[in-house]
Amino acid sequence: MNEKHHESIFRIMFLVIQEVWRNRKRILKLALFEKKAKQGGMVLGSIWDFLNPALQIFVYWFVFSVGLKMTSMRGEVPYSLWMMSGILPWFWINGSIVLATNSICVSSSILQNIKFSLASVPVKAVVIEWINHLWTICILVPVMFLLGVHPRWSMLGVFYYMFAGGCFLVAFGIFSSAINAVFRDFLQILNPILRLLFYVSSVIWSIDSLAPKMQTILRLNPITYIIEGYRNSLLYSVGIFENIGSVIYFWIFVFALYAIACKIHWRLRKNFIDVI
Amino acid sequence: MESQNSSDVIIRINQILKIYPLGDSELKRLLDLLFPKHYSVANYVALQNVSCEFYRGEIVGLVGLNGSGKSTLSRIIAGITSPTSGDIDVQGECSMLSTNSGMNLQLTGRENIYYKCLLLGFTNNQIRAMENDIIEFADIGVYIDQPMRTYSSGMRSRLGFAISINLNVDILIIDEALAVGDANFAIRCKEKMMQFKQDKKTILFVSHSIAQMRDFCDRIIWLHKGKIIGFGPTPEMLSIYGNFIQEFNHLGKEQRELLTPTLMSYQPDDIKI
Repeated sequence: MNEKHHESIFRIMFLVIQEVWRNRKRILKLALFEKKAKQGGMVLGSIWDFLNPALQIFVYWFVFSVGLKMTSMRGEVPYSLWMMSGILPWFWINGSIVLATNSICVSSSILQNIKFSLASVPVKAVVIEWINHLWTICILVPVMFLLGVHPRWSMLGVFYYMFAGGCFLVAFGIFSSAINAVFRDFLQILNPILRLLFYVSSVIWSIDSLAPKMQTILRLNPITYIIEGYRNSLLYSVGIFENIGSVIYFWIFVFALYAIACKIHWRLRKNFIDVI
Repeated sequence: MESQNSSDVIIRINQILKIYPLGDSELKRLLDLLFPKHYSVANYVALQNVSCEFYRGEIVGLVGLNGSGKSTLSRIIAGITSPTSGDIDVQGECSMLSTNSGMNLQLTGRENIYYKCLLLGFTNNQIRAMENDIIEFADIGVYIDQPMRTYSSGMRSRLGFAISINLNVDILIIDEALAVGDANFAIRCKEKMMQFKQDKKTILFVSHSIAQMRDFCDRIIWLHKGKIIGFGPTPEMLSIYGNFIQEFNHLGKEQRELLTPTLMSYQPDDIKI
């Protein structure tokens, strides 16, 4: 029992990732079942996987390209595409953060009766949202071609940013689900922060127009890195490593967040069942 | 059980103590969690001085009033929660089964078999191997491919129990009465549990039904206010516990609080443990 407290942080980080890795297939299958359960009782069922993002993209295109005819923030790109390539990954990030933060609390009845890998619970939440996001991107890209964006190899960079975003979300999910399990107010604090981040993460307006100092500060936010990355690779054929400084900063941030997350998760882990 | 030797011990529990802190506010509860022992919160002692051993191939019944620590003890054995102090050594795979947890009403019965077993830690191939046995045992016909929200409560419990009893584990904790299904289902449950026993697997059976305990169990543990009052052969323990319950039911609220039962006080004249 006492050994656990004296384990080094690197050992804990390894043990957590190992636990998740061993459960990877299980997490994916459970995520698919839970997605299916959410569509239970609907006539169209899993067709909504496709229909939901398709309708969302159609609405944005209709409002901003047909209705408002807004011009782009940068280059020759329609505003609707510019905005979608930012807001769609944002919905993924925002949705994952909320779902993962709540994940341990809402599974209380299962976790109290079934011995399930605790580190896998927030990861499962991230995976559920990721599957939805993957559908969205699979629909967005052909729509972009239809609207005049030329296919380029650099667009594949979107998969790197999806992976980077996933790593950030897993680290954050392990952190926030542990905090929220013992401190329920956390999600209430997180909500206004997320609303703020929506406006400062380059989601609906470009931070390029701000003063350089301000830009630097806003780019400390790792979500900005993901959102700008999506846009750069989908619309502007900017390579992944063109700004090597931000790549290094992002991964150090994720690594540090993961370290803190593991530390907190490990410390609170044995209390989860008794407090949720 | 006299013939049991120490190599047959599958669970060894030594001096377990389990304390739940009772904060009078959420803030205090949080502070106690972060800085244990610095904040004086009342403690609820769920289990104390609990020591016992279980053998391979026996069915042990766990009896006691509400709040006596039965569920806490099962959770500790299942590894879901850990004791505040004391040791527990479990040799093998252990599953605790509450028939209704881990079931999703929007999924079909078949999907729920997979969903629940995945949660319990089985792999897809293992589940596929158990699937037919579970479906056959549940005996809910074409409903197996219908969403579970369309099931009657009897069908839900039957499927839940069918999953529990067909799992390939060394120790099974059944934290619910077998008050599911008709007489025919009850007979099949009993047969299945006896087969479990023959395979040298251990069942810990938590129930309020003394009749079922008498039917299945080899030994009975009696818990009261977190302590083991007695652990012995079924007929003797159940008649003692029966006497206790009878007296308990006639007591007023205050007398009940003060009651500290011992084996001796409820022992019928013709029984010696």
